[in-house]
Amino acid sequence: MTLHGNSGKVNGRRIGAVVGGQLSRGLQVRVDRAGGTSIEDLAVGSFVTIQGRKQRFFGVITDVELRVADDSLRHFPPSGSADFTNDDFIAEVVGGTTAYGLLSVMPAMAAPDDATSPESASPESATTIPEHFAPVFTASQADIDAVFKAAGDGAMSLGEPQGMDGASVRLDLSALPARSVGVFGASGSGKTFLARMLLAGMVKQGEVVSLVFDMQNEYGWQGQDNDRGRQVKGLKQLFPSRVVTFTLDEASSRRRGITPDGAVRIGYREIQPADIELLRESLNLTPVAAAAAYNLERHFGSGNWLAEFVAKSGPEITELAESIGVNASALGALHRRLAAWERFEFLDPAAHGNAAADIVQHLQRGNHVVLEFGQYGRNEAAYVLVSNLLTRRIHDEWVRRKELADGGQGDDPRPLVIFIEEAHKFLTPEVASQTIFGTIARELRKYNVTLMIVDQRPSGIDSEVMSQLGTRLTCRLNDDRDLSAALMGARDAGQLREVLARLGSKQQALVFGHAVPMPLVVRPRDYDESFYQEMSLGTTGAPAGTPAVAETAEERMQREIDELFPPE
Amino acid sequence: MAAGARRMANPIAGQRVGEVTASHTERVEGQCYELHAPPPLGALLRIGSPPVYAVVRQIWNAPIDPARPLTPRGADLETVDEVYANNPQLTSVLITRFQATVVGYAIGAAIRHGLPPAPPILHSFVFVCDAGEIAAFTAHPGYLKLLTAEGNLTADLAMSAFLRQAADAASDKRGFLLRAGRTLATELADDGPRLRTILGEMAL
Ligand SMILES: Nc1ncnc2c1ncn2[C@@H]1O[C@H](COP(=O)(O)OP(=O)(O)O)[C@@H](O)[C@H]1O
Ligand SMILES: [Mg+2]
Repeated sequence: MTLHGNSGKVNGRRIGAVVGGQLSRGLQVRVDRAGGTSIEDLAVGSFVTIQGRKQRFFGVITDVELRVADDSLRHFPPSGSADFTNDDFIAEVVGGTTAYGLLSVMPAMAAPDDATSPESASPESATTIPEHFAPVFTASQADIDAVFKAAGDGAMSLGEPQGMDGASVRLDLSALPARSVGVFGASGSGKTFLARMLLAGMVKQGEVVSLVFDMQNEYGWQGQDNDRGRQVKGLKQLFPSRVVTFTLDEASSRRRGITPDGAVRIGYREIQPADIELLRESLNLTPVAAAAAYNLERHFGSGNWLAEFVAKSGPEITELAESIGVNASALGALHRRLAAWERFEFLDPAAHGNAAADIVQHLQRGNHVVLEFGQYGRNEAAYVLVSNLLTRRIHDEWVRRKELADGGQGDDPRPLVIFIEEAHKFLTPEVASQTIFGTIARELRKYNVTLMIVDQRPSGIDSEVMSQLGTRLTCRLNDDRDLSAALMGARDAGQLREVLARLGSKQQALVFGHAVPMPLVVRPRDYDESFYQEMSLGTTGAPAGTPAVAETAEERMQREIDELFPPE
Repeated sequence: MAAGARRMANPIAGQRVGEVTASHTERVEGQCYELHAPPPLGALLRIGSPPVYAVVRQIWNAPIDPARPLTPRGADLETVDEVYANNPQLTSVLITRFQATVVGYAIGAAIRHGLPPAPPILHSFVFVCDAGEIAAFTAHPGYLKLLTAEGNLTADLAMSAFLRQAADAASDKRGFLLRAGRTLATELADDGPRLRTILGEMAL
């Protein structure tokens, strides 16, 4: 308890009064200039409170507007006419009286607030609006806390709410991974930094495990802070004993002086015709050429088709085309593309076994896994192939375990979050129905697997998948279609649009959906020493530095070595 | 300078300047004691007892007897002052009159903005208010209602003159003008051009 008894009810600075509105479209709030408030202080996305007669409302400014009560001002604005020597005075008098600022405010939450209501009544979704002339105030930290109740170890400070210097809003880390999450924003808007922060929060919190497909090598050991020209800590540095790193490209890891915990090798046997179909665009294949993989599979048998096919050359391919009934030039194109995979060192023509087995083991033990792509991150086909294939394998395993658990054998598999960047590559409307990512998005949480997708082109993502995302964190988007897509299916999409369109170009995000009680614009906190410190202090689940589940003697030794001599 | 010549200086604030010659609840007419020595346009007047307050809205100079109009007298003279010096009788046949808009009255020590229960009696003495009285009278913006009620340009210009004088009497001149201006802006929200004329004049 604070000095105020119930600090949640202390109003901030008055900025205006409700003069009209509608629950579905938002309230109109006339700005009082008398109190020294200027419309220029009131940014869209700011959190405000409204003191109704019986309820206290919490809302977000969704638009700002200038109005004139007297139309002549529009035609002859004071400083425009030279007739008056004292236009400044006139402008000052009419500014805030007949010419005034009007805010659109979305009333999102409300808590009972009259003599009879309990002091601690917690805010719920607003089902009505305040009366006429209800005063509107800036919000305080206490207001933020009243609405965003997440506290303690299950939550982390996400950043500073719009327009509230020094305040901080907390994000509920249990609610976040419970449904799929989308992080969107134009390139350079801060998606990766924000997503890495969320991942770190989830590692620390310990309820879920994650598998990160780290296309650009910025999540595992370290990331690049372009603005400050320095390296920042990746998940492995923050949580040496709870994060394992795998690589697809050992040479690249070595060059970067990083010692991964393992390498992923994928046997040709594991690649299926469906994988090729998904790669159609990245490989620039015609539908016929891509579909030929199915003919090849029928011809050579399911494990062998790829190895046998790439071993053929020249005239043999024409012959093969004839015998399996596929257009020869289409088959030739397919052959050229697949034969080029010989350069992919992570592919092993001879390997048997399951490329995902090690990863699955770590995940089951409670470790988070980051798979670095090394230089293969720049190869779209490699990225899509590997992410899709491994995810399919892992998902299969989770389905199996979940079904066993449902049948009374063994425990439920650990909740798993699969993290991908450039998500539209897997989730375009054309391929979303075929890829494992589309399946996971649609299954919701049935098998304890959810997605965290990061993308700069949400309009490229299948709308059904978008609407399954529980929580969205959206940074600045420039394209109209992306703006609409990012809001698709959101409850207050219409009102939030302007808020989203006006985000700063960097490190500012609109957060809405499952994990937050109401939409809010935040400036994600700086990814810096103080963040590192918060990540290392106190713990839930297993204490940092101690593995979640028993580790083998070898693992323990490796961990201790890593902790003592970080591979920098 | 001969009495009755042009008076450049305003009557001293607080001074008695004339008497009521006709009175209505909303309007008072008076005659000055001295030719060409009226209270200035826009001056706040205190009239009679209990006091009625009014703002000078119009001033005119004329012969006492309308049946005997003036004729030119200075054709051979150099200055207008010589006209009066050569014709001392003029000061007794010419007069200065004024009309003022009633804006309030006092009950005991309290000032009310509005119309008095009855007009000031004839021959009531007319005083020009001093800065302290003006400041007290304009402490609240209710006085503006009766001044804007007339609604024509000359009345508005007289009101602007009054507001300028009141601003000079206020401790925070700019703050006073802004407060008054904003009150006018809400009262005249539907007539922008008129508002702007007044605002333009009052801050001259
Ligand atoms: N929370 C943050 N803390 C510190 N720097 C940030 C943060 N968010 C963004 N930045 C800066 O912005 C740059 C671009 O951010 P990044 O996350 O890589 O963008 P995106 O993934 O959207 O292309 C980073 O290199 C960093 O300099
Ligand atoms: Mg990025």
